[in-house]
Amino acid sequence: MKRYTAKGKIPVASLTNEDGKTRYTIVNKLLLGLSIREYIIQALRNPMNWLLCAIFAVGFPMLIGRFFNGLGSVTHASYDYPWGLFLGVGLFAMVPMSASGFMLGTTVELFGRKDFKPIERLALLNGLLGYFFAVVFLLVDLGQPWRLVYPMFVSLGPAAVLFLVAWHVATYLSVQVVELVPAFSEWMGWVKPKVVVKSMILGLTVAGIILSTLHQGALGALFNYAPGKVHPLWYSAPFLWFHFLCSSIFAGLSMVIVVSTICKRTMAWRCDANFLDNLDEITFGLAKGCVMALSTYLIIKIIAIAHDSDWYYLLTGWGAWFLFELIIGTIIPLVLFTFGIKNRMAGLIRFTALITLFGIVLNRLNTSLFTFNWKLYQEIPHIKEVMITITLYAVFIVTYRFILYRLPILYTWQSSEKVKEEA
Amino acid sequence: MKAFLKWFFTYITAFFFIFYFFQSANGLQSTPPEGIKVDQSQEDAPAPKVHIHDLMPQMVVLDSMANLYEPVEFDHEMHAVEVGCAKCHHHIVEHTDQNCTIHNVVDQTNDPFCARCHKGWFPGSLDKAKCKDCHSPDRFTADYLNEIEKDKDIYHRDNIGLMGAYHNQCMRCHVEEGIGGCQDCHVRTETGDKEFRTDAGSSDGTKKSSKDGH
Amino acid sequence: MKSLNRRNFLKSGFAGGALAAFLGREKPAQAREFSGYTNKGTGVLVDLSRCVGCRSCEAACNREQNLPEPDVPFDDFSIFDMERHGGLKRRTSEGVFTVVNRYNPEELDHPLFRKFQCNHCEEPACLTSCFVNAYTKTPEGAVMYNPKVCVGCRNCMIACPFYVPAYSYSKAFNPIVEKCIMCYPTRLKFGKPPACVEACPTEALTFGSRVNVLKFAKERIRQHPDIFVDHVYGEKEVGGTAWLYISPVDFKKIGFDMNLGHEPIINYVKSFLATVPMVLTIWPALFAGFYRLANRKDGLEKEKNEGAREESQS
Repeated sequence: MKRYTAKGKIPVASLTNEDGKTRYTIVNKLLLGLSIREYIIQALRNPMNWLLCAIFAVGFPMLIGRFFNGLGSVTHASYDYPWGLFLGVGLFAMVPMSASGFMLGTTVELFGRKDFKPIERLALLNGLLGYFFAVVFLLVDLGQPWRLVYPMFVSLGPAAVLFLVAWHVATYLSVQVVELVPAFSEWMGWVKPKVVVKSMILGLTVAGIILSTLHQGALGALFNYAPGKVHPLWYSAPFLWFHFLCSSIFAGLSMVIVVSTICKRTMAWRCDANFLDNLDEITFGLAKGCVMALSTYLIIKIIAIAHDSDWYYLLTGWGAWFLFELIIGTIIPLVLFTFGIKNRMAGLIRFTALITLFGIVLNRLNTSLFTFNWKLYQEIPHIKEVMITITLYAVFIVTYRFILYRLPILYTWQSSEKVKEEA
Repeated sequence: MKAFLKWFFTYITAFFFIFYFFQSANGLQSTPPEGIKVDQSQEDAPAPKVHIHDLMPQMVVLDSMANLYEPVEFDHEMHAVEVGCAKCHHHIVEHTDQNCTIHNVVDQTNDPFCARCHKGWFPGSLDKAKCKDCHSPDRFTADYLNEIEKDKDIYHRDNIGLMGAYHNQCMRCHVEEGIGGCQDCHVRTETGDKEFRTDAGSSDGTKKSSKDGH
Repeated sequence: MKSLNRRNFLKSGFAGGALAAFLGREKPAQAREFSGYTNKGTGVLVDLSRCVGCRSCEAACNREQNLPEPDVPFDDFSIFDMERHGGLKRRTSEGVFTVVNRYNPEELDHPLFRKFQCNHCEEPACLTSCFVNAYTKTPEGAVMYNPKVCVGCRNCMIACPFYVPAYSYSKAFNPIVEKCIMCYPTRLKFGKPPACVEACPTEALTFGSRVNVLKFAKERIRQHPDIFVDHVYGEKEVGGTAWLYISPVDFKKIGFDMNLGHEPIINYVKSFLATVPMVLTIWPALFAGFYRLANRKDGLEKEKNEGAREESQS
């Protein structure tokens, strides 16, 4: 794509082409204004696509196998370890990394910080796709995925934490779809939906905060059911849900930093000046948010240990592992973010965001998989389980990229005002 | 009003106490359950010199698990001679006297507390020497459980059932003797073989379900 | 009498008859404490000193529940030497609802056998964690599972402190949770004991109302302090279980988890569940307030502008 833009081809960013008369067709828009031939050539030129193809070639047969031969054929999920990588990585790590939607939505729409506007849509999309794929992972992991709607309509167990998660993720998913309707309607050339959504944006944002607070916390509270199974250092009945909620804040922000970095590096042709010029400044702003959330998180983590008086465990092997997680995932990012903001080093902050993401994934895996059943034995995921997880992540990336290439997420739709006037 | 009620209840309570006292003084010994012949005459009359070995059964057929196992012919006499009576028939004092007779083999009915219900159960009568007289063969049926539930006067509520009583008594020695396997005494029927799935694992060598679930 | 009258007067005077009747049914203050529904349910007392490890219960369970063929026959005792992943003893699985394991505690000169199955908690963790209400606790005490609504999230397996529910991972189209149901549909419902109880030759399993068997357990311990350790496992563990155990050796040595505490598992989740209505009600007002605060300047400016416009118009 870079080469085409160099040659003077402008990717579709408005309803009409350069001369301002003929409207782009859907096909034009889907092909980014290229001919089919040109599109295929640029797709083949991208080494990333080859890698993705290789992953799909291996992963999809396994995924299909899972649905025909049962979970037992692809996972090491056992009676003692009912939840494996699909939920550990796909749900428990994916959801906090997708907290960006409600974070930026709140910042921009509610607190009126318009300076974050250029990245708001990216954050919203990140949230939407993250949740959507968390649900996809869930569908792969559920024994009978076709019954997903049962907790909604068929047989209700409203006292269960998972009931809360199900309802909130479903509701929040629809909230996020609605929040992204403006971007889609601009692309499609519709006017009305955008106006409607704009009128209810405050309500949607507040709904987003409520739902996110509760289900981010609820994911942690799911492990409240296993007081004897999760290691005491990771378990804390009164605090666990708050740990999950608080860490989701810096996880979501870090994810936006990382994703925006990737966008800047790999699809600069798609970003407009508004995005590229403001990105560094926004990154510092996001990092400040991370610092606040990280310091809160660090303190409540320590308070939780003090509350349950788990100091003794810090001296054990599990304690060393816990400290490793805390240092890598919380303290080092905290120091580096602060240093980076103070010295205005955007590169350092981007690198730190990556470490923070590693820390958050480690924390979720520790809670759900590594320290789970710490009194029994260690579960090692099946190779196919790893492969399917990677495949689903690849699908996630492809979808993400597909939308970023097309919808006005990283760039501002140019002629919407003009069209409105014409209409 | 208050005063009246107070006095009224006091009178009533006192009345019941007195009534109850006479009642219990009248009959320290409650009537034994139906179908039990209590030979009161035995108490006064001199005991007949009958050797207990002549009265007891020689062979007892145990067939309560007859669907899974063939009935067991239990050599009662052999066990009585070899290990003595009290090993199994608890509440019996073993007499070193070879001439022991049935009328003085029971000890605990002399205990006033036991005697309240059990007086006259054992002396002179073999009716209550059978295991199943105390240990119900239907220990967990609804009828039995309801009976325990209803009759608050029953002291031995946690009375082991017949099958349990047999096995707990027998197994103690049998394990020591090294004949503690089920089939050392019980010959399994075809139904029993089916129950224990003796064919399992032989039809195909592969194990179908591993124990961890994956 | 006087005070009663006054109270009645106050009630009728201020609150009205209906409300008074409602207030009259005041709940005890210690509502947080859960002591189980002990009066209604049945229970089974497992006397570990009586178990001889004959596996008759396993066989009876297999027959009663129409379970698949076992790996080895039920009269094969080599299975006691079997170890699964991590050197652990056998556990329940799909197709095996109860297992007997052998332990060799050093203070005894003979092995000790422990039967293991669903303990049918008074306040079951599986039930409270299920988001489709697939579990029910029957008045008779059995914890039942309804495969027709189960989605397969396996949260119950996470929640169960005894590691009881097993999942049929091998099935692709209708995998379900499998566990002991205390023979409810076929036996317990009709007042009959579970098949394992009936099959036990030594009456290591005593069936009856939970209240009664708990009394038996304590009485046996009292009468034989030389045999039993002074603890009834399941009386209070995780809020109490319908299956109770008494043992001649320390429970820890024969695979019982002694760190479960007396609280039902749901109590650990209540602190979170309590925040749900708070967030739902407080957040909208709070954040709407934030919004007003954050955009106050805009609003003021707008007002000023409008004011200016009005002035200019007039």
